[in-house]
Amino acid sequence: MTYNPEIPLSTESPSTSASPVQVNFDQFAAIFSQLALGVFYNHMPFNSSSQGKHASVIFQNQTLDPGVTEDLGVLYSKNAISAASTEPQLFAQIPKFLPTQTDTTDAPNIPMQLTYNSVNTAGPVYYSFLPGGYIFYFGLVTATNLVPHTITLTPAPTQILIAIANPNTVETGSQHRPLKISTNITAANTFDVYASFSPLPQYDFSWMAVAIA
Amino acid sequence: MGNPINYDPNTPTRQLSFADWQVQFIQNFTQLDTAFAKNHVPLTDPTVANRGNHTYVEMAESTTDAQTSANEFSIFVKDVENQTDQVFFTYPGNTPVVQFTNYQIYSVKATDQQTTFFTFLPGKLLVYFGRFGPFNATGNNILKLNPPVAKNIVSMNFCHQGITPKYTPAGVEETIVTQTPSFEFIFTKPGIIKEIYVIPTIPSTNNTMYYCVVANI
Repeated sequence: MTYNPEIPLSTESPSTSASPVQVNFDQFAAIFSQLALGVFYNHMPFNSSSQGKHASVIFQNQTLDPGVTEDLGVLYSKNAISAASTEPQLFAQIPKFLPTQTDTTDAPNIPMQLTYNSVNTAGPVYYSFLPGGYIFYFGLVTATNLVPHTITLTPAPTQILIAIANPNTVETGSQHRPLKISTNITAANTFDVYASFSPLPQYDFSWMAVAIA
Repeated sequence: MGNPINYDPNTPTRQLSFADWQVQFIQNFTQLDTAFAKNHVPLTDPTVANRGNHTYVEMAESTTDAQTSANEFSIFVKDVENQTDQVFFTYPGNTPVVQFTNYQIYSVKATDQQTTFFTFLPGKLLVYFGRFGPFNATGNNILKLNPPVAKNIVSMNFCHQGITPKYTPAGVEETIVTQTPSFEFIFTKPGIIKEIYVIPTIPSTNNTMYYCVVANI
C-alpha cells in the first residue's frame, strides 16, 4: 500500500474510491504510530493525547547542508570525517548573525558538528566530544620517576591542539609548591608530560587535551 | 469549493456532489503529502522503511520557551539577544530550560603569538583554547579572547609547552621572590573581557604555553 496524493479519481465512483482513500488515511496513521520494542519513532500516534508530537527522532543521513536563511534552526545528520572513521554525526545550522557590534568577524553560518560517535567513561584515557568536531580527552595519572610520561590518545585524532597537565603533587621541601610541569605534543595522538624535581618520586597529575577528531 | 492551493480540514460536506468533493480530497491529500515531505522522507518514498523518518528538523523560531509535561523533553529554537536563533532544551515539567548552542563556531586566524580555537558548552559557556607564546621578554603578553564576547571568566588552565618545565600551573602572583614564580593573569571587568594580560616571571622568548579558558557569554 502506498500513499497516493492524486486520488480519488474523477472517473471513479464513490464506492471504488473508498478503498484508495482508506489507504491514504491508513498510511498517515501508520507513519504516525511507528512502534518497536516499546519505542515510538518520529511522531506520536493519532488519537492519543500526544498526537503529532515527536517521539524518538530518526534522522536520515544527508549529503548536503540545508542552508539557513530564515528565522529557524536546523538539526540534521551528515557524514563527518575523523581520523578514526567516517560516521554520521548530528549537525546544527543557525541563521547568520555576524558581524555584530562586539564581534566584527563576518563569519558565515557554516554547519556545526555537535557530536562524535563514541565516548569513553571507563578510562584511563577518558574522552567525550565538543561542538566543532573536537574530541576532549582527559585523565588522571600516577607516574613513576620515568621522565617523560607519554600519554597516548585513543582513538587517535587528526591533530592535538592543546595538551594541559596539572600536578596533584607538591614538591618536597618546606614550601610544598606544586610541581612545575610541561607538555610536549609529539605526534597526532601522543604527548609527553615533564615534571620538575630530580629525581622524581612517584607523582600524580591530571591532564586534558583537545584535538581535531 | 475551497481554496485550490490550501488544505481544507472541513471537507467534504454533505451538500457537495462526489464530483466536487473528489477535487477537495485530491487537494487535501496533495497538501498533506507536500507538507509532510518537508523535513520528512515522504510517504511515497520507494524505501518503505524510511518513510516518515526525518531529513532535516527545521525548528521555526519560538517567542517563548517550549512547555513540557512530566514525561516530555523539548528541543526548540529561540532568538538570543544581539545574536540569532539558538537551540534550547526544556526538561520535563518545564524546568530547567538550557541553551544548548551558544554561538556560531568559526575559524580564528592565528597570529605570531597565538593560535585560537573556540567551541561552546551548553549553558551559555564558551571555551577558548590554543597555544600562546613565545613570551615577549619586555612584557605585553596579551592573550586575546576571540570572539570577543566573554562576560565572565569562570576557569583558566595554562600549561607550559616544552620539555623543560619552568612554571607551576598556579595563576597567582608570587610574593616570595626567591621562589620561582609562575604567572599572573589580569583581566578587566565589568563588560566584555577581550584579553588577558599574562605576566610570566620568566619571560624568556622561548617559552610558550597551552591555554584553555572557559567563560560565560
